[in-house]
Amino acid sequence: MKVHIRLFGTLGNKVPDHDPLKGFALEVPVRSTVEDLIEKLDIPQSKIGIVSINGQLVKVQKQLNDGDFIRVFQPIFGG
Amino acid sequence: MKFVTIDMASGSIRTGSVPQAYEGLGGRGLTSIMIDNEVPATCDPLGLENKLIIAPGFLSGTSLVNTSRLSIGAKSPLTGGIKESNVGGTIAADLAHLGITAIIVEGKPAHGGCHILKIDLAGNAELIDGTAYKGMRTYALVAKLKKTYGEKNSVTCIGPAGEFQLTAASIQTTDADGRPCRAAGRGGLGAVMGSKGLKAIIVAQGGKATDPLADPELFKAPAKRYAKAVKESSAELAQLGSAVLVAPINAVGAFPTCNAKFGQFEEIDKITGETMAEIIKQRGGKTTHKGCAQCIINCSNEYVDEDGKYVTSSLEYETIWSMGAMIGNADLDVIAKLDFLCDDIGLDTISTGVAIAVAMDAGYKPFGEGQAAVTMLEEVAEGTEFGKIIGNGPAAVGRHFNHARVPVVKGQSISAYDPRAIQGMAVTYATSPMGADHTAGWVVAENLQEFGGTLDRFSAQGQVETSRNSQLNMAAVDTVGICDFAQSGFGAPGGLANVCNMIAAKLGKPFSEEDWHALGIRILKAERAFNRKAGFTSKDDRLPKMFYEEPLPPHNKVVVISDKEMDQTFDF
Ligand code: SF4
Repeated sequence: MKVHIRLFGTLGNKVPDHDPLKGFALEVPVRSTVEDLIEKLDIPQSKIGIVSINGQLVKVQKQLNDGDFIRVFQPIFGG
Repeated sequence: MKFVTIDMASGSIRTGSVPQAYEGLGGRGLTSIMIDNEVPATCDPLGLENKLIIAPGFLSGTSLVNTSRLSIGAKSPLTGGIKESNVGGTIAADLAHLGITAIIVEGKPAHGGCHILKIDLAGNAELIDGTAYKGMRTYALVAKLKKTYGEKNSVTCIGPAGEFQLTAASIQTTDADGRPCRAAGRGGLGAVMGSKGLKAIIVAQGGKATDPLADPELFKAPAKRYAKAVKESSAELAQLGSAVLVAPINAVGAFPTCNAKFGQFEEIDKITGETMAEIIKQRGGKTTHKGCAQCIINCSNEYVDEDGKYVTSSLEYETIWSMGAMIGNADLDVIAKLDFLCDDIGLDTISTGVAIAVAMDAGYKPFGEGQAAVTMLEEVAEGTEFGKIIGNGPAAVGRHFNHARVPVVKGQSISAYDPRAIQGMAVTYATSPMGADHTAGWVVAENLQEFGGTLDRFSAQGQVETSRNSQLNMAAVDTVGICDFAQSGFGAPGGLANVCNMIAAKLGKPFSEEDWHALGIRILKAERAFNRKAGFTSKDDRLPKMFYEEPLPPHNKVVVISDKEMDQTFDF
């Protein structure tokens, strides 16, 4: 199945196909979770803040569906 | 270690050593404790009894990274209480290199006037007639001053808004490239500077009279460890600046939109930090830029137009919010222009954006009309009746339109975190002696379990304690003069003790972690004592009704911290 991913902050820097504004589409096995996806992209867990699917915040164990739009954010800091 | 005191009534200048009562202080600790001691709390903030105190941090001028932070203090004409407004640029390092602990501007010229204070490389201060600069906007002013007095000076100044003594007026100061784009925005201190007839302060760069460290050897290793920790965690800030926060804070529904009617902005993708960085890159601007002396993070940027021409520096999270989502405007070019205009006219981008949002909410113009916002700012510069209302901030706009939805505490607007979606910020906004101020106690990360925080952001549980600790810690951070964004250095081996060792190395006597906490308490006590004398009571430590009564979409929550809990934040 196909999902669409957008990586925020510096997360997309090392992912070659990633367009910082649009993200990119990716083929993933059926029943993949967010966690599987992040592993596939080779992003360390410690670099992940929150994840949303189609605008709803989700846990990394959440299963993906065909056509999902996934946004992955970094941990925050600042002031 | 010296004070330079300027009496604007007589034009006389005194240079003297730092009184014992203020030794070991710098930045906010110095400005707040001095104001509590020396300024009558009930005075007219724009009258002759108020003092404008300008102090680099205690560690400014040392070799520690990210320490060119300046505190400017006074009684605020916006809140009627004590104020410390913090700003970067180069002036803090420049003053410290001249061995100046503080500039104190007191009194007021009997017949107005416009003056320039100039401090040369020998540390000598001189008051110069500034009539030729009257009414100038800050960019033109700085260019003219630099032409006359040389490039190697920092300039700290006010624009037309400060001269009009409007209560959202900022004090602008030059960045590492000599542009007046760094703002001591909060609290209307530009109006205080204007009331003193002081248009600009010029400080020579490259001084060689930095206060010596009592124990330079003790300083070295902790400073190095601190810098290493900062460097290791600065990639996101370097690439996107504070605008990195736009997308995630919107994603969690805490990004106040259209005068805080919603917690998410539909057109967010047009104004995220990622979008900004792409636009800047495509047009040949700078996504990474050093704004302040001694910075190794470089969170600043240079936003350019389609022809690659400079528009503004640094487009930051708070301004993208106040001039963007808060007024329903999704045009980043317009946001950048509004940011530039605020710097040029000398206005706080936060208070001014929220003032425009309140006007739009009251029906003056529709949300999203960026051009209407530009016109409103031009009116401030011209000094029209309505321009003055906008320039006096959101509470003044609310009074003008008889409109109740005004998101301020103690007269000062909230910033880009809605307290209904992050209850910890409700406590900070309500109880900070500064009025609503996100930097006074930023407890956002602790509140967002989604990001690894430990508190439930919709519950009151633990919020008071967390905000209290953060506020006490920040008071100490603002005293040593470390940039907010460089607090990652506290994560270096040794943590807080590492920072305490640097303070001890400068002081020449031990400084423990307990001393650090005691310093925070001493400062908050002084600030609260001043406010009480000025007439504030616990009733002023409350949010406006809208936050208790109107549920914020998409989570549809209101502020749940009770008055009793608010009052437990500071039991002094
Ligand atoms: S991180 Fe940004 S605000 Fe802090 S010192 Fe550097 S440029 Fe200035």
